[in-house]
Amino acid sequence: MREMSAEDVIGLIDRSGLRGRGGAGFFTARKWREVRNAPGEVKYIICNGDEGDPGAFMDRMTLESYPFRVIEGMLIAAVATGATRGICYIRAEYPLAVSRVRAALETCGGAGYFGGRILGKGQEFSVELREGAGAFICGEESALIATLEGRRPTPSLRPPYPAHQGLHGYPTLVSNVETLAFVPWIVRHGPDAFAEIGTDRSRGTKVFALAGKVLRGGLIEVPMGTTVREIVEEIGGGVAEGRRLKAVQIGGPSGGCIPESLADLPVDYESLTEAGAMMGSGGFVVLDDRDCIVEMSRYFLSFTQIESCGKCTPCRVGTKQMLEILERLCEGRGSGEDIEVLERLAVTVKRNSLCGLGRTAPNPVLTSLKYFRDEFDAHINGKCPAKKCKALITYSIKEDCIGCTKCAQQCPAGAIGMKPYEVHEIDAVKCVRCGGCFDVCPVDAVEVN
Amino acid sequence: MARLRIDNVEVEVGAGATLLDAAAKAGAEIPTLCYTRQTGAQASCMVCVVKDAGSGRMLPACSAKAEDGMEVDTRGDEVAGLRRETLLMLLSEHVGDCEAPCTRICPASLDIPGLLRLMSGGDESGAARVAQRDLVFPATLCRVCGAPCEKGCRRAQYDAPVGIRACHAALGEGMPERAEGSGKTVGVIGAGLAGLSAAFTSLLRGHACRVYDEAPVACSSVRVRYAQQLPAEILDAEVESIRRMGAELMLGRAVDAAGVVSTCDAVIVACDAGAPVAANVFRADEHAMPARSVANGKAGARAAEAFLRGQQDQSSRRYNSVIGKLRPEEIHAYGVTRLVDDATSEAGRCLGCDCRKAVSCKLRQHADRYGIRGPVKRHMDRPAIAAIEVLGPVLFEPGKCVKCGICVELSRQSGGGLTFAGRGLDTRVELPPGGRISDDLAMRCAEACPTGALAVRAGEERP
Repeated sequence: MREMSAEDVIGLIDRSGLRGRGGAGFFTARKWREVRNAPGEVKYIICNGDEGDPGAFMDRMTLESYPFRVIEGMLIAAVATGATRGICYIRAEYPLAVSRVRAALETCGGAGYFGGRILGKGQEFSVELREGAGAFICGEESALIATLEGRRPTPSLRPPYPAHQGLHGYPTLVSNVETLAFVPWIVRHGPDAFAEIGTDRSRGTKVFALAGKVLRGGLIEVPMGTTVREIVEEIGGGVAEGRRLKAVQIGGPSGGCIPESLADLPVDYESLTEAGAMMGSGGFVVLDDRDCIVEMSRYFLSFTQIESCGKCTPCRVGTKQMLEILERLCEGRGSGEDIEVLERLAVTVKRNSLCGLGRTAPNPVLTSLKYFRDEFDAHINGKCPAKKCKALITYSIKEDCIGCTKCAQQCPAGAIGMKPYEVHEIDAVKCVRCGGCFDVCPVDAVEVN
Repeated sequence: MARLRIDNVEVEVGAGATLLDAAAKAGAEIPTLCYTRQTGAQASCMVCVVKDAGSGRMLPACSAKAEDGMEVDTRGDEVAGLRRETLLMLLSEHVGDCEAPCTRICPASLDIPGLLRLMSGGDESGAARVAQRDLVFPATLCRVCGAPCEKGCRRAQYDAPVGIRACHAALGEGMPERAEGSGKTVGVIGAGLAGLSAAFTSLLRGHACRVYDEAPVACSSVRVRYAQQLPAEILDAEVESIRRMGAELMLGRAVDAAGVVSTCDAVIVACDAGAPVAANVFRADEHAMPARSVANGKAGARAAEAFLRGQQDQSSRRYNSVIGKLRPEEIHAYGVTRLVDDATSEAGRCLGCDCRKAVSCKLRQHADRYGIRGPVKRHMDRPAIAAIEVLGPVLFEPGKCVKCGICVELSRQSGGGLTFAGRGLDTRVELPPGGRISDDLAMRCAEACPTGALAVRAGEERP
């Protein structure tokens, strides 16, 4: 590093093909060059550690376990962009990450990594830690910058991009934790070693939070271009309990669901976007045939709806309208025009929202509609094919019952009378459809209709 | 400097100009809510959306910068559709009535809250002018109308309806002023309530007016039907005041309809007799319900007026936002918080359910422009009714707020005042705890507010 010029560093990152891991996948070298070329006596680097997707915790792991990688990445980025001030922006809900990064920053400061002559160059750089303002929208870069300036976390229209006009109006590089953590590796091992991994347009590896109906969940790091099926079968150990793979939801609430029929899709930026999903921050939830797509859409939308900042009309009102329609469908109160209205609202929110949160919030709904429209139609007709939506199902006990009374002991609502050695019955009025009897029955005598 | 094309019109704008600036230069009119020159772009309402044909992206014209070589579409189907959908979303969260329930029920669309506000404020003659303008025969209608307005009065749910009919019956005579002479003549065939209402409304708009009827006295059928309730001198006086205003009454002579059509610029037929079909002939039917006859007369006159001015008649087809039914738990708060003036008179009991900016509200204007007809299906629970707040000379009605941010920005520029609180659908504008707003700032906010959320107490006059 000590012998390399800023241009050398950017060239190296350029050759590696590194793209932003925060979701949009912008080429890192291009962003760095924009910041380098933007005029300004002060320039900022912000490490975006406001990881907010439900179920995603790869940045948390990195910040807690490898804070020096991120700080090193910031230092290299500072040399490349000419930035003079760095900010580690970490969501306040990650107290361990905050304290570890704070300690790491002190260590680096004590060891002389910050100050007037970083990495042996005549350049000043130091990093301060700031805690997030407690909302999902703070991860959107223009809203994040607003909070650093003491304003409400609401986004503004880009352009101007932060690279030209960011924090306090100065050129600002906003980079995701995972992206920055890759940088020292690329510098140490060379760009070719990085570029060798992955696909033509999506180089390197990506960390996913693998969850849902797989045998082995957790954080996984895979080369870009690995197929959905490989991830589920080989890394996740296949769908749990011998069920059938139905779909995977990639990219969390901003992403979309990919049906089993597309499971051989390579996981890279372009393929996912083409399928209507998105790399997002790397959520990867596996759904089996007992998961309801409508319910899944409702769940992800309920998150974005609550996290909408409320600034622009389509996101503020449209997500709420969409959510209420989905809730009606799950409760069996849907009407004929609901699906058409839902689609129209989704398109309006996607096309006309101000920032990325609103523009991607309808993705789970739109992809579900694209690949599983028949399930939506079924809900209108009062049926949940996955037998998941409580209002649309009933539990009953078949003649196969051996009278073991386990279900009666399990039932939290007192809907099953204890009748040893007799066929048990479920009182449909008292039943809360928790599925406890179904799970506990040793002879599979409980059925769902 | 940037050279770009707006709807295929080439324009050149200076550095930093927005697409809204460029569109204005190209003569393309883009609807806005959250933009004012003083507060700049808020990029919140997203009604000003345009399409950047190059990238296919939809952009808010108020904040997107004009760039060299851009091709911008401001009126294609996709853009218009998105604007309409976005307006529908705003209307879905809108908790307010453009017109009060009483006015909506009144066949003659009397601006009842406006009239009662003037009355309780002591401006009896102003109130009389409103009654005359809207009812044409206020004293007659008082005696022959069943007062359906009182059945719709929201105050009835709270305690007892406002005695609307008694209020306007107590008013004296008041004549609105005529508009400047247009040089046009409107002929009216039929001197019943419909015909004379058409004549009166045309006179107000500045046209000359001649009324023809074979019968020797005006409004003969009403006289017969309501002989008991309606003393002849009341009706005579009201006909006389229309005559005094300038109506030429040609009564008791056979009417040559074709002759009338050829000598007048526009003709309103207000009788059963057939009339020649021509572009300048309009109808105003007499109706068994006197107030409906008046309404038909006014509508005929408005159609004729639009024709004479070469415009489209939009007046009767305006979008109406409606709150709908109050929930039981809302009735009390609605009643209490809308009583903003400490009046003791009957007129002062009016809750002012109308919108004080029903004419200038941009949301309503845009709804009209994009062909939205109420009632809008909300697709979600109606937000709860929030209490009205008094900010000095200004009333703040949160249900009508579109969260555009203009008043918040004006407050910021003035060093304090209104601010945002909450987020998502719960985003609201409010005074921070212990916060104050000066009368001057409140007035400027009311003027800049695109809807009736912030409005001066007196409200604005309807046409």
